[in-house]
Amino acid sequence: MGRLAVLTCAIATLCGVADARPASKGWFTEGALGAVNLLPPKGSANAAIGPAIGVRVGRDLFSWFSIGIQLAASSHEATVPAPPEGEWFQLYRGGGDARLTGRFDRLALFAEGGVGVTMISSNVLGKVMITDPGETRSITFQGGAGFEYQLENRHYSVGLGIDAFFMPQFAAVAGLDTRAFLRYTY
Amino acid sequence: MRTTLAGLATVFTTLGTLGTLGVGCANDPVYLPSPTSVDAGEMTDMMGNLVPGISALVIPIKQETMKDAVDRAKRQARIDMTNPGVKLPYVTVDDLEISIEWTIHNLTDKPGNAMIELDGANELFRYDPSMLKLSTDKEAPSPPGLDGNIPLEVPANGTIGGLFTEDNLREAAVDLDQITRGNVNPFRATLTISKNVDQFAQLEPLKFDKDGRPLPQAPTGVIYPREAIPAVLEVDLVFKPDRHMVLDYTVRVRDVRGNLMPDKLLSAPMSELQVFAPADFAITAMATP
Repeated sequence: MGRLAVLTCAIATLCGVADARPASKGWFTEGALGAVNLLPPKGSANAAIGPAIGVRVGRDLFSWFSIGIQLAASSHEATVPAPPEGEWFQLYRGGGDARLTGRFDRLALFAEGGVGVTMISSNVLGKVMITDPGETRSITFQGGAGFEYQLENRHYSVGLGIDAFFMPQFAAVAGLDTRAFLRYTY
Repeated sequence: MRTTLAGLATVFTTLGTLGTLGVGCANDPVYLPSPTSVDAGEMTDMMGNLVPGISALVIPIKQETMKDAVDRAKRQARIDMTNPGVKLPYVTVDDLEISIEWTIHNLTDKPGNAMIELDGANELFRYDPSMLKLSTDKEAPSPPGLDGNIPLEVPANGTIGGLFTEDNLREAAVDLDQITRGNVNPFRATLTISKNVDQFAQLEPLKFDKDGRPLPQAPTGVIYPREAIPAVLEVDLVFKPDRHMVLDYTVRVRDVRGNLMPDKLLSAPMSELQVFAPADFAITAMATP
């Protein structure tokens, strides 16, 4: 009986303490749905809040640090002085980012930041000088935070994130990307 | 196994999203603002009639590439075998989808009426009804515009808006070619719906009877296929308010072919643009003895 107790203790010591909700680590993909709102003064005056979709593919280099690339698209009604009226445009954003994560049992908080490119689908904002003639792309700086909730299955988590982004070439318009996401870690 | 399936599902979702992003970039519209606001309804001519406001906007088109020119020459050679004399344009009616959105602002404190007439030009001819005289009868109706001329009520100090749709502009493009190269009577061309025709027949030039009324026309045998119908490349708006009003408009263009519009649009350097010199189209009714 004493021998069994010693053996059990030895195995427990060797294995370490098991995580209450283990999460996979490695390559991951995220799919997100949300909304993008361009910020005042120029952005919100000339573009309505619009639905957004996005994906992020990356790798956890450590349990607390990951890098990734992300692509996102959002669609907005242009609210420039008429005409035109009721016209829509799309923003396509892509770039690389890094994320710092702190895990507390089933919850994880993260902060992220990155740089990329935003492409606008039309020149409808040219009327209010947000885009110049022939200008369709802007470098984009992005940063934000959020949290993840680890599901029972160690590969899946869900979360909410909010990122601010800034587009210097588009008259320095900034935006806010709020999203709910599902993450799958391989 | 479940993990593999879930991974595959995620990969397909990712690829689907990327595909959506890629497709979303195709065939996006561009917007060409009116050069200036059209202010009318105040000035009168020598006869005391209000002078309409007129505005023209030329759609910028890139110079034809060698590949496109060779391709057009091949199609022209094919057309020449069946319909000699039918010239293929650089920009056809199906290459561009154009619409015009406008607003009228009544600057007075009384309600008024206004009309907007759509005219224009393709790469071969410019259509201006004021250049036409379709009858020697002084009481005959004025030659029609390509579209519009619908009375609109504008409230005092109010603003109204409207649209010449892509269908309207496609119809106008076909009518313009029917009138100019097809010799179709402008009334007949504008009162019939032809936007989806596959071809139209050229008629004999308009002739008039001894009272100055147009005579029936017979086909010449020349057929203009749809690929020979040019697009409208100049939008002319004639603004006719009965009191002081301002017209603003924006031309929306979708480049269906995908390589016609310059990146900088109206700010593109002239060296990048194809220069067209459409001839003014005119008809003068004369009584035939």
